[in-house]
Amino acid sequence: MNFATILAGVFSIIGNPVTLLWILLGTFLGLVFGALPGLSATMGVALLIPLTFTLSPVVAIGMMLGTYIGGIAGGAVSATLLNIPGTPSAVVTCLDGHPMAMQGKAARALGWAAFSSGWGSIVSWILLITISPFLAKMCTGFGSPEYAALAFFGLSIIAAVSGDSLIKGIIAGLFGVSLSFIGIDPIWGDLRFTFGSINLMGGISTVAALIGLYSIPQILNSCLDKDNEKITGKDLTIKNIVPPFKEQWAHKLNILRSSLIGTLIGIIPATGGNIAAFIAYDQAKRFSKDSESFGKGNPDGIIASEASNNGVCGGALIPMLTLGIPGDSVTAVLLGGLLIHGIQPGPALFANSPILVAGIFTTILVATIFMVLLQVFGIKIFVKTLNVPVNYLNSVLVVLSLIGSYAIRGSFFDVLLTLCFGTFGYLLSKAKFPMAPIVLGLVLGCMFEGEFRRALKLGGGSAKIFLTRPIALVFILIAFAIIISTIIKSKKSRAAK
Amino acid sequence: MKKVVLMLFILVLCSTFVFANGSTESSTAAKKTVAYPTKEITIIIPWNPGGTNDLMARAMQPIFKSMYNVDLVVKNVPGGGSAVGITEAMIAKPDGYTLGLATSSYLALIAQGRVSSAFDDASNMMNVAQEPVCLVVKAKGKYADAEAVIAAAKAKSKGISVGIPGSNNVNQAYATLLQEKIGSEFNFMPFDGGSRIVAELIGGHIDAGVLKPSETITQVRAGELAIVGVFNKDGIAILPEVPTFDSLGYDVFRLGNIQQTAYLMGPKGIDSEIQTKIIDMFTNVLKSEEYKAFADQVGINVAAFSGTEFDTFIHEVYDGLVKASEEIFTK
Amino acid sequence: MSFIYGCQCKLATFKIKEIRKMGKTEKRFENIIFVIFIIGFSYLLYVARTSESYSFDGVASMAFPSWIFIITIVLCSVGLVRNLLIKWKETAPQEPKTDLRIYLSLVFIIIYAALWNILGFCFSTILFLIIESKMLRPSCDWKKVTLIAISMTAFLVFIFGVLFNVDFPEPLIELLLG
Repeated sequence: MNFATILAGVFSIIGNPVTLLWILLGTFLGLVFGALPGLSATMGVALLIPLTFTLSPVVAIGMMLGTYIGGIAGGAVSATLLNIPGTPSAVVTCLDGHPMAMQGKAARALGWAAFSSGWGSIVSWILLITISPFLAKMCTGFGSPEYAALAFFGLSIIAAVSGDSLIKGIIAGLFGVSLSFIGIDPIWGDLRFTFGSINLMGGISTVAALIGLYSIPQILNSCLDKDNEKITGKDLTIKNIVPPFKEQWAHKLNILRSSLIGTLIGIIPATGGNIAAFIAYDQAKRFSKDSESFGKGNPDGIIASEASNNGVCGGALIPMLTLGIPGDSVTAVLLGGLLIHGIQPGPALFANSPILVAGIFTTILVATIFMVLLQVFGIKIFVKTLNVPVNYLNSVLVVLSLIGSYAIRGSFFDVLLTLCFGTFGYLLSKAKFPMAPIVLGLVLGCMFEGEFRRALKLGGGSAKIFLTRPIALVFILIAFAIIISTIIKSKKSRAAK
Repeated sequence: MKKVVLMLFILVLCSTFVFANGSTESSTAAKKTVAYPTKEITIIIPWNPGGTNDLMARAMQPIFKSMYNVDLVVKNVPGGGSAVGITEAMIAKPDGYTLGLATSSYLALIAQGRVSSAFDDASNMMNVAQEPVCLVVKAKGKYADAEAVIAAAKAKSKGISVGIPGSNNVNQAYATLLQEKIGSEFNFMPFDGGSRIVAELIGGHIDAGVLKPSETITQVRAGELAIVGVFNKDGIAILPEVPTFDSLGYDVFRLGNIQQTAYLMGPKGIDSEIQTKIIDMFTNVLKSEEYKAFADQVGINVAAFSGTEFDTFIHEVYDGLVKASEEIFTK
Repeated sequence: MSFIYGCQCKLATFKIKEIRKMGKTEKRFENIIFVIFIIGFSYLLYVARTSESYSFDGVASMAFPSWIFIITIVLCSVGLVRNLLIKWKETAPQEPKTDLRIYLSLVFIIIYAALWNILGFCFSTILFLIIESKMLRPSCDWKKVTLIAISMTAFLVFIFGVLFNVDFPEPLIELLLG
């Protein structure tokens, strides 16, 4: 790629107001999909495929990328304002975003979310345009033993998101892992715990579980609250929303670390924003001087979660563009969109159509800027949902939640599932069980089990295979270090009491 | 205030009338003369968006629009290894406006008795695409051709790891048949999907994979992977130089001609005239130049045929899968 | 392994008679959850043990779930025994009793979902919005509640049903209009 072709690619995007408008529309749609519980970025991107037929490939891809980036970032809005994650990857944002909103700093919390999403996206974008062929090697460097070790590492941070009681966090995590067993066995293909239902054959839908566990208990617990204090336009000046750049600079290490974690996790296929956010949150908490305030409205918690889950966007594009391997469910749809437009991703793409590649890279940056701007101005409107009288807000939220679980695949079974999770989730919330470990267990449980058993099979039935793989070994060692330090910490804090 | 309430209520009622009227018109029309299609046709894809089957249907959308001025709506209903979506298509109103794109995976589910419905519970209309499964290895890696893989497998039982997307499917059946013929065992590694196997192969974590051409064509063209053998008798149209296992002298067709196939189905009881129209429309779309260009690029082998040819073919696949589930698959 | 570690850690601290802040409601619900989990997971363990477990080589399909179920049952039993044996110092203020209207809301939500398949999405949503908002705040005006419910439903149907192509169940309307 020489300079002239790059410039041509860049100008094909920013020199064309119509293209910019489509990207803006895509980003806006993504934010809406992300912010509404149950409607995910995947759904938004899939909906756009037929719409983008009439557009030229670059515009179509730009629009879809905008939806992708907006969709992941939008999840923070409902997570912060209502304690209901809009997308699975915003689960971690709830931990600090909502407490911060409860302290009357909703606008600032959303401002942090918007800007850290933007930084995460930009860091991963820089890695994407500079060293993506190199990073693509990392993607193929991951075999079953490495996946198993990564999942184990992920599970080891249950303690970090458990809240006050470790034992309840672990039980919640195990409950999530147990839920992941339902469906087809990952190795032998026999049916486990489906009780004869074809709806359970595909396993428990994460979105249905998420809506049930988060939104129904939250609605029930807050339905008799007093109305919020009216938020007026005076509280919502740009100054109150945008975190001062001096303050952003103070959090530079957290932003950079979380974005890098997000990008690296995004490169590894079939992992995704959820895991990245959990890992980044745990790391932020460990490195913070003020780790006690995590979970009580520390902006670092929001930064870690949002920077990492948007970092995943750029990361997931790396194997897709360089190897033609989708990194998550959204990039799978994006890949389909590219193929339908007659674009074959892979090494040949960079050689054959440099203008297109430069165009795609530019759209990511443009979409990121749009996303941040839309959020900053949108926050004024978002925050005003808190002005709605509680009785109306809660009843509408019930309807939205059920629509969300129904809309994933138009199945009433998912609504029933949501109700079951909701009822049980209410009991869990009464007993003050933390919800985040359940989601972590559900997402990582089946991954750990499948990959662990596969790794053993690859090693001829012996666990020695983990010792011969350096990447896997490193993850396992870190995981043990985390477990041991958690035990020591909890003993210390007990002794202090 | 009252006026506004009334207006809104009327608006809601009106909108529902409009929706409902659409369906009444079409159903009465269908009874008298065959005016089909008068509205959009929904095709249920029992998989997540982005997969080969999803793309196959989405690529039909613009051609349907330009050839017949009909909107083809793609509805993804994933779950249960395609059982959930196909069941939805089976219990839909048999007016020809809800169809499903089933695959051999669903036939395997029936053969294993995992779904309560039988083979004849749906009207299976026509074949859409048919893909052989192939043995894939890393290009310029340890194994140059199929014989090298087989020799290594013979040298050490379970010494060769073979990736399979899912389990209890056509891929596993052929890999098992091959290991029967060479008298040695592979170390089967079932993965969640084809793209993971591609990554594992490029990374050199597993030795070989059993995949469809459409799942690997990008990497084969990029020189990352190589297809070394096809589990059928005629080879692959887009890669004619690849040998078949038949030509290599391994008779892996003990269970008959089982193939990965995608076929159009719908609920039982669709008017026969409408059914003929549906088959005509889809055949013309699939055989159009536009669709062919798309299919070649993505690596899909379009095979549009219907009537007795289709009946014989689909029965052969089904019977082979019944035998496979008795002898090879787990319950 | 992390679970086993956590488990050992908990067992080790079990001997120490600790004093922890916990409200009465929380403790009662915690016990309920522990009992539900113990019964539920015992049943799942029974299912796992009695159904066929496939294994051609390596770990059988029911082995891993069985381990997890056993660990969960053990942890829940430890928690339950601890709750019953240790005297808690109730420093947390006595929480007010859960309002009946919360349970009523839950029942309404379940009835509302069930009505989707009878009245259809439109009518059941209007009905639910009216009843739920009125119940949560009886001081609200009927007219206002009804107006908001209808306009909200129309808005949702437009956004999801029309723009996003969500195919809502409408059996009643289909029945009435053929």
